[in-house]
Parts: sequence; C-alpha cells; structure tokens
Amino acid sequence: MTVVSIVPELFTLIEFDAERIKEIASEVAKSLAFPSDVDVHIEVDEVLPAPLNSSQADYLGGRAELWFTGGAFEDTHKGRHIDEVLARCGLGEALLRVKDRISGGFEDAPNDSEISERQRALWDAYADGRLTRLEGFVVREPRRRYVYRLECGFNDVADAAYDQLWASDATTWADLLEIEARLMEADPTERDAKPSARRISLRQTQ
Amino acid sequence: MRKQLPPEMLARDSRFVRTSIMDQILDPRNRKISERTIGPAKLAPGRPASADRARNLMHGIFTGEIQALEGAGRTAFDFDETEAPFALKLDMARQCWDEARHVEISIKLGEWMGTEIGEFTEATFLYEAACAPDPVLRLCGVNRALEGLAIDVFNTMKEFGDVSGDPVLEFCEDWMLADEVTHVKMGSDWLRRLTADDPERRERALDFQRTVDKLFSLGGFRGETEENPIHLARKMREMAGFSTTEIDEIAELSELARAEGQAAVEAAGSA
Repeated sequence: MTVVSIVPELFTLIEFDAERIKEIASEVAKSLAFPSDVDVHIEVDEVLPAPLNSSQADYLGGRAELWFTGGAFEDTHKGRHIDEVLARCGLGEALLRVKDRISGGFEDAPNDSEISERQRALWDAYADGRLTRLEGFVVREPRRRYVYRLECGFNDVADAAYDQLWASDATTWADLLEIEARLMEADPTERDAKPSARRISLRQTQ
Repeated sequence: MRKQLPPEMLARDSRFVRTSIMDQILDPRNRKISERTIGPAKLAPGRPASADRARNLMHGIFTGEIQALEGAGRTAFDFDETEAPFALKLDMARQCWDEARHVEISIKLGEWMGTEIGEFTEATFLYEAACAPDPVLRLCGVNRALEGLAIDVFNTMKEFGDVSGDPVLEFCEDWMLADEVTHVKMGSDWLRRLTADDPERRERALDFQRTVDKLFSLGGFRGETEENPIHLARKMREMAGFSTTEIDEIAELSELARAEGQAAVEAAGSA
C-alpha cells in the first residue's frame, strides 16, 4: 500500500484535515494503480487561497513530491474549507502525472518548476482526459478547456490538439513537444517560457 | 408589492450562495499573503492562476449585473413621480433592459470560461448601494460609482481578452463597456437635473458616491499600478463624462482604500 505523508500535519489558517487528505490520496493512488512501492509526499501551502490555484507533481529521489496551494482544494462556497471532490480530482491529476514520469513515456520530462505553462496545459489536458474515464473523479472539463486555450491559443489547431490529448491513453513527452511545435506555428504569439504560478515563485516572502 | 426591498429578500435559486465581505476581510490568510512576493496582481496571461482569477472575476461581474438590474428596477418602482420624474423612471427601465442583456452575456461568457452559475459566492454590496432612500443617492452610488467601476472592470477584462487572444471575451466586454458609459452619463445628467436648486442634496449624493467608490477600491482592488487587479480606465471614464479632477479623486480614494485595507489586515493579524 502507498505510504502517504503530508506537510503541514496540522493546518492553522484553514480548516483542512491533514489525515483526511492522506486518506483521499491513498484512495486515489489505489484507483489509479499508482505503484505501491513509491511513497507520496504532499505539501499544501495553506496561505494561498482560491482562486490562486496551482500545483506541482514531480518524481524525486524515488518519491512522488506533490505540492498544492490551499486554493487548489478549497470549497468555492465555503472559504477555508476543503472541497473533497476538488481535492480528489487535484490529487488524481498530480498522481497520474507522477505515474507518467515513472514509466508512462514522460521519464525525460523536466521537473514541473522547469516546464512552461503551455507544456503544463497540454499535459493537464492529457491527465484530465484519462481521469474522466475512471470512476470516482468529477473533472470540470469546461474549466480545463479554458485554462488550456488561455495557454495554447484560441484557434482550431489548438482545439484539435486538445481533443486529441483528451481522448488519448498513451501520449508521451515527445508527443507533447511535437504538439507544442504545431501550436507555435498556428499561434506565434510570444509567451513566457517560465512557469508563473509554481511553488518557488509563490512561496517567496518579501 | 413591497417598496425598499432589503438585500436578504432578493430572489435567488439554490445555485447561489451568499458571502459576507467581512469573512473576506477577516480571513487569517490575508496577512500572510501580504508577506509573500507573488508578483503583480494585474490580470494577464502568464500571471499566477490567471485563468481561475479571470473566471472568478467574471462570475462576480455576472452577479453584479443581476444586482444592477435589480437596483435599476427598484429605482423605477420605489419612488413616486414627485421623488423620481417619469423620464428618470424611463431611463431606469431602459437600463434594466441593458442589465438584463448583460446578465445573459455574462452567463454565456461564464460558460465560455468553464464556469457554472453559482460556482463562486455572491456578495450583495452592489445592491446595498441601490437601497438608499433618496433616488439621487442611488444615481450617485450606482450609476456614477458602481457603473464607473464597471467601466474599469470591463476595460480590464477587455484588455485581458485582447492580450490572451480570446476574441469572445474581448468582443463581449467591449459591447458591455459601451453600455456602461451611457449608464454613467445618465447618472451624471439626472444628478444635475434633480439637484439644480438643492446644492446640499447634491453634496450629500456626491459624498455617498465617494463612500461607495472607496468601498469598492478596498484593499487595492482598483488602482493604477501593476499591483491592482482592476485598472482605472481614464480614457473610458472621460468618455462617460468624468472630469480629470473627478478621476484623480477616485485614484486618490483607491490609494487610500489600499492603505486602509492593508492596515485592517495588519490589525486583524495582531488582534
């Protein structure tokens, strides 16, 4: 069984229950057939509220390292409280991407802190598409499509790539780079190569 | 039918969830966030969580349009013709038509951005500004202050649509923006006409407008720097009839509101 750890163990600014998040993560790992010999470490930054939603999912030192803003799990109707459906989905996306990194064709993908927002949008579309085909995950597809279009372009080429990723069960990092090149041709608008809403940038203090 | 309808009696179905501005002000995370360097707050692609921030703001615009519709409707109904001339009521009715169209556009835009009705909470302080007992105060609080804010918000969203290459968002915001300019002009026109012989009443109304302008600039929400999510749309405001002095005053109020908001966060943190 997957061993899950979490930081912080006690939330002081928000009403999240660390033990409950660990339980959800364990259930999600099981339903994704996540390798049981890979430990999962979760960090939730409780300072950052919705809609400052962001996450990272890496495979470092033989362990899944997941990072989320508190907002990524926050109930939009009841601030500072967890939305378990949202948390389950966020954990599912993250663990699927770590699984991709371990043995799913993304072994040579850079860490999340080094990939661009566009690459991340492509990968997220691929992950969410697979989640919808599994039982027990409520994926908000229209939201995913908008986030994707914002990073990948509002055009037919981007939409076709989205549909392709959404329906796919076997995309690789190389496929993703090929799609990215196609998108660049369709919409050459210059975009930031660096990710904007990731762990390092959001945790810095003045 | 009841006159002077309080906010808690507004009709909403089960999808809508109310929130209090105090909950947001007293959120213990505020002080910690202010210690972080999370980059400029201006809405732009590539900025932290811009998609979800834009979705949240668009839902706020949607609920604001519902309340603007309700406010203009109440002003057409709540007063007799000695308090509010028939021509003013006709203008309010026409504004209701615009606001109803904006509600429909906002719903479609929300869908386009992947947002469901009621996905985010609703605060009713826009409608609360439309509950003043004097129609002139309502014209200043709603048509001049809040429709003025709508100019700033729509202009910011239009620019976001432009720089992110979203043709639907840019187009829709531009159309709604044009309507807001006429709503502000309508408010300014009726303020002059109804208070032509009553300078004290005019000053009371302008004071109320300043209060509303400051409230809606809370914590630096609106301003003229990269730190403000919503930017003061000087050019569009000039088209709506605001003088440079009036726009400068709003900019000063916004800065004051930012400083007071920061002080409130610090006070809440040390309490």
